[in-house]
Amino acid sequence: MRYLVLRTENLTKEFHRRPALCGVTLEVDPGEVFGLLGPSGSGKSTLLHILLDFIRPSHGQALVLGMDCQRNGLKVRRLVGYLPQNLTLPKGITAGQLLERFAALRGGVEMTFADELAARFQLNLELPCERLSPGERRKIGLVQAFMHRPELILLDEPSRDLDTAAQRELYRLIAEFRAEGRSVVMASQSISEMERICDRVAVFYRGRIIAVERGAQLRARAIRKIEMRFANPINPQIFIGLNNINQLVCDQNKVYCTVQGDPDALLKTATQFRVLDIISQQPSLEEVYQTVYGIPAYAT
Amino acid sequence: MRLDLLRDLWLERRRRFAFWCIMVVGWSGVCGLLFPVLVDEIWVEVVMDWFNPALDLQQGYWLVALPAVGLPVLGGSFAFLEGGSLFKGQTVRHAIAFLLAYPLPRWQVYFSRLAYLLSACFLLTVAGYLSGSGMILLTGYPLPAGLSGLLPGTFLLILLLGELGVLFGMLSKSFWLDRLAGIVFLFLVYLPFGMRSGSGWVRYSPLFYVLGESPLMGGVDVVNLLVLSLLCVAGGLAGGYVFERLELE
Repeated sequence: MRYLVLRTENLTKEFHRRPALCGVTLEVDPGEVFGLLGPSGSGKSTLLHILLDFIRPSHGQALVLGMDCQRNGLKVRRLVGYLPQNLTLPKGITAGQLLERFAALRGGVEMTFADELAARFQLNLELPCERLSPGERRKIGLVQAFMHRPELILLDEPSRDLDTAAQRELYRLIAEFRAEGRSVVMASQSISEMERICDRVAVFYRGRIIAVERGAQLRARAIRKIEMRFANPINPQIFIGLNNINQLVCDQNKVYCTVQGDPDALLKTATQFRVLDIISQQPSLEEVYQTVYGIPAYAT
Repeated sequence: MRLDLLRDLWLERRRRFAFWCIMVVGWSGVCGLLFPVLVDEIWVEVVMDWFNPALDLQQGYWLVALPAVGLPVLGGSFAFLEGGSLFKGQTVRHAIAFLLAYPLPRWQVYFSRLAYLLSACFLLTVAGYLSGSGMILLTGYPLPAGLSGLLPGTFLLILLLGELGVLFGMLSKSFWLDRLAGIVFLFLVYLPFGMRSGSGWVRYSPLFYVLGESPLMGGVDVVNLLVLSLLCVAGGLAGGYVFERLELE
C-alpha cells in the first residue's frame, strides 16, 4: 500500500449544525507541497485544526504520517510543525528566549538550526516580543514551525504580513524541505503563491473541495489583468485574433484586457509597436472562482 | 504538570493578580482598622434595625461583620473572572491551540492553568487574611477567636468559584451569563440575613461554608469543609473532562 503523508476520508465538520467541512477527501504524497486554496471561511483552517486534533470531525477520518490524528495525537504533533493563522506571543521576553521556550516544549531541539533560520529571515532575536511587527511575529512562527525539521509542516497563511525578501526566503526554505523528502501543506488565499510553489492545490469552496489542480495546470489557467500604454493610438483589431484574450478595451493609446494562461502571444503582438508601460495584475480570488469554476462572485 | 507553563502564566497574569491583591489587601486592611467599630453593640443594633428588625444579636453581629468577611466576595469575584479568562476569548483560545500544536497532552495544559488558579487563590486569601488581622492587631484589639479557622473555608470557596469560572469560560460564550452568575453568587452570600435562623435555605449561602458554621446558628461544622473540599476536587475534574473535549475553533 502506498505510504501517504496525509490522507483524509470523507472528513466532515459541523459547527452548530452549520457545515464547515463537507466530505473532504485528499491525499498528500511524501515530498509534496500541497496547497489549500480558498477564501476566508472556506474550511482550510478547519481542516488543519482537525489534523492537529484541536477540533474533532463530525464524520470521517484523517491519517497523518500513517497515524490516526485523534488516537495518536501526541505522536503526530511530535513529527509535525505548525504555523497558525493568528500567533499570540507572550510579553516580557525576547524573541530568542521565546524560541528557546518553544524548543524546550518540543524537547531535544537544537538551537543551532533555529538560529540559522532566524538569520535567514533576518529576525532580530534580541527584540522583546511586544515590540515585534506583524511580519516579525510571522517569522517567529515560521522559525518555530521549521526548527525541529518535521516530516510534515502545516502552514496557515504563511506569507501574510511578510515582506518580499522574507517571502522569497520562505519559498526557498520550502523547496529545500521538499528536496529532503519532507512535505508541506499550506493554506492560502493567494493564487500567485499557490501557482509558484505548490505541486498540487485543492480548491476549497464552502467547506468542499471543488477541484484539485496541479501547480502547472493552475499556472496555465491563470488569469492576468493587463494594462498597456503605447506611444501612439492602437488599432484594436490586431489583438482580436489572439485566442486567450478576453474583455479587450482600447482607449486611444491604452489597451486593457485579461489573459488566461501564457501571455507570450499578446506581448509579441504588442512589441511590434512602441510600448511605454505594461501593468500586469492578478485578479481577485472571487474573479478566478467566477471565471474558472463558474461560481458566482458574490457566493465566495 | 509542566512548571514552565505555570511560570509563563504567572508572568503573563502578574499585573492582573497584583491589581486584585491590592483590592483585597486594601479591603481587608480597612475592615481590620474599623474592627473596634464593627464589634460595638450600638453599631450592630443600628444596622440590624435598618436591615431586618427581626434579627437577633448574633445575626446582627455577623451582619456588621460581613465587610470583614468580604474576602470571599472579592476573592470569589477574582477567582470567577480569572478562571473564566484562562479559557475564554479568541486570543486565549488561539494561545491554547498553539500550545497544543506541540507534543503536550491536554491534561498538562489544563492542570498548569488550574495550578495557576489554585496558587493565585491561595496567595490572595493569605494576603487578605494577613492584611485584615494585622490591622486588627494594630488597633490594639486581640484577634477574634476562630478568625484563622476561616482561612481554609475561604480558600476552598474562592477556589470553587474559580473552578466554576473555568467551566463557564469553557462552556459559555456569553459574558452576560458570567455577570448573571456573579449576581446570583452575591445574592446567595447575603441570603442568610434576610431569613429566619432555622431556615434550610441558609445552607445555599457560601458564607455557611466560609465560616465553617452557620452565620445564623453558630457552631463549627467540619463536615461543611469536607463537602467544600470534595466539591473543589469534583470541580477540578469536571473542568478537566470538559477541556479534554473542548473544541478550539
